[in-house]
Amino acid sequence: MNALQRSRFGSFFNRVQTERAVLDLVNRRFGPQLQLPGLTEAAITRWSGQMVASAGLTHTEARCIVDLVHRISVRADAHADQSRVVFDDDPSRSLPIDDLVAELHSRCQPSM
Amino acid sequence: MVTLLAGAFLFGSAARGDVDDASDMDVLLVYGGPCSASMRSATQAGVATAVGRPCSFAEYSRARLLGLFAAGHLFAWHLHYEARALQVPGLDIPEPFVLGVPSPYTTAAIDAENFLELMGSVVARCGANCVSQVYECGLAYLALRNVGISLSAVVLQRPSFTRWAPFEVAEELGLSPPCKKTTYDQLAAARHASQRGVEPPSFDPTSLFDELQHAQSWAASAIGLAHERTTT
Repeated sequence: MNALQRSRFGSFFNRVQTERAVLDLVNRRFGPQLQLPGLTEAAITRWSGQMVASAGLTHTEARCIVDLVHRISVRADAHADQSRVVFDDDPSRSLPIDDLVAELHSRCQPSM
Repeated sequence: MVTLLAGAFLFGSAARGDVDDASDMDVLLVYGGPCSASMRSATQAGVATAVGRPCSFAEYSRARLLGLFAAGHLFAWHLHYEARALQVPGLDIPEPFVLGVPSPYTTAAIDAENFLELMGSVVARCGANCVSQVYECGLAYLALRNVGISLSAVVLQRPSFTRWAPFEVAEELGLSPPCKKTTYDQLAAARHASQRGVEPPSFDPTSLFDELQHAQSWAASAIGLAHERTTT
């Protein structure tokens, strides 16, 4: 495998692993009826309408989780896009995803 | 509109002329230089308006795309065979990118093995009662389809980029299909739910797991048979 292939598949699998980690956090918390199927803008938008309406959270709590998922998605996109197009005014690409995922993990813990 | 756009191309089912209700328009955008997010959004909006249907954008810099053509990447071959230049009123492209002929595609086995590995990870997670079943089923579709596309380049007269590539490869190799077509449709629907935000399908977890295991075995067999063909 040459460098291009290693880089391409490496970044693809990394993206899959990031998406799995985020989706598992969310779906473990909200269950199969409110399953988030992907991290695209379209998938998040559809899911967020259902989740905010029926997850049993306050509107603020629900919107906070949706906002975190959305920000992780934007950053994951920015990281993936680095190998394709250089976006010179995108501040999100320099920020770590891990901090957001950690915050999402904390927000997705069931309340005691 | 001021843009760094160096080319806009239609590819995928729309370029092949086999659009159905589940299809969106695959559009390749090629940029001639560093492009701001706002400029990118404006370009996408202009193209989507001109096309008149929801678009799925693949965006590349000119240099990156040239690299794919030089490496003989399968995506470059996909574009070579199927891409059609898209005329977008109002978008001035002073130096249009020309899609040339890619270098020979020599990595079918590696690509197929990589997607088989992805399929294996899906089966492992579904077998462990993964909570993100729709996403995993969408990945299964992606993996199976790409195993088929990669192998089609070595077992068919020319690569097949349709969603039915694994079934075409199975027929050519004398193998049973990778899964039932209804299951394949469900996996595709899961991928669309994961990417396009449409209604996810519902699955019977037990029969689905059996089918995924079968598809994984099929992919391994197909890779082995394709390898035999290329070495005999």
